[in-house]
Amino acid sequence: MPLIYADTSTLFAYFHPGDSFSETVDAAVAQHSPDFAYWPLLRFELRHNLRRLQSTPHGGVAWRALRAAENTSARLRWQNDLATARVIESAEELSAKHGDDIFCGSGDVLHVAAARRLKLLAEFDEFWTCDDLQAKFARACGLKTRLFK
Amino acid sequence: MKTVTSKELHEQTARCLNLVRRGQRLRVIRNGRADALLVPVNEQVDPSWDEIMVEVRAARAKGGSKIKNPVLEQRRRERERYAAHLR
Repeated sequence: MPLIYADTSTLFAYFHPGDSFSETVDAAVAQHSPDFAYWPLLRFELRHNLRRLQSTPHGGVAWRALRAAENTSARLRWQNDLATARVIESAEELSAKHGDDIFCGSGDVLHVAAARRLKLLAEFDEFWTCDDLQAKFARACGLKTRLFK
Repeated sequence: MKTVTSKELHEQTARCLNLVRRGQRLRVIRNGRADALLVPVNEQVDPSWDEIMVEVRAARAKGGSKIKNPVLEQRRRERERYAAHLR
């Protein structure tokens, strides 16, 4: 199974059936059967955005699916080696190198930095995002990137 | 996987447990929603990925109104604020 770093925008779309990217992302998952890298920043951002919608019908479905997924060892692969301090250092380097050229926020840069760290530490196949500017940034940083439109 | 309602489980506990003892997995539905899985004691407890995503896929197939991705919306707002600040 390929190991994908899916930005929070993509994982949100995968779990939330009413998201505008939901069908596209689900089709890609069905095609490639990837495992997803998972670590504290990604977990926090994903949970935070789903938690806020969990009182809605689709949000409740998404929240239950995420929690069930987190309780298994399948697909969401916890990355013990992604040390937060090292990722932030790496993000700082990327910001210094590319920050003037590409209009990304600090959170978006952190995900790209985490994917780059993962590329150094483990087998890593692709960076997935629904964010066009982040995709541009990830490509500029040398990551094989899939942009969902 | 067979599905039983919580009422069936309550009224026919022995029959349900006998099914599970024979290797059958049961999904327990309450108020129209899958709430629990009954699995044989010697079986791996983790549900399969398909089982985890079954409700998501059913909801997606039903369609309905779409929402804008909140992660992207937050980033878009931040970028707009930043661009306005630069102007």
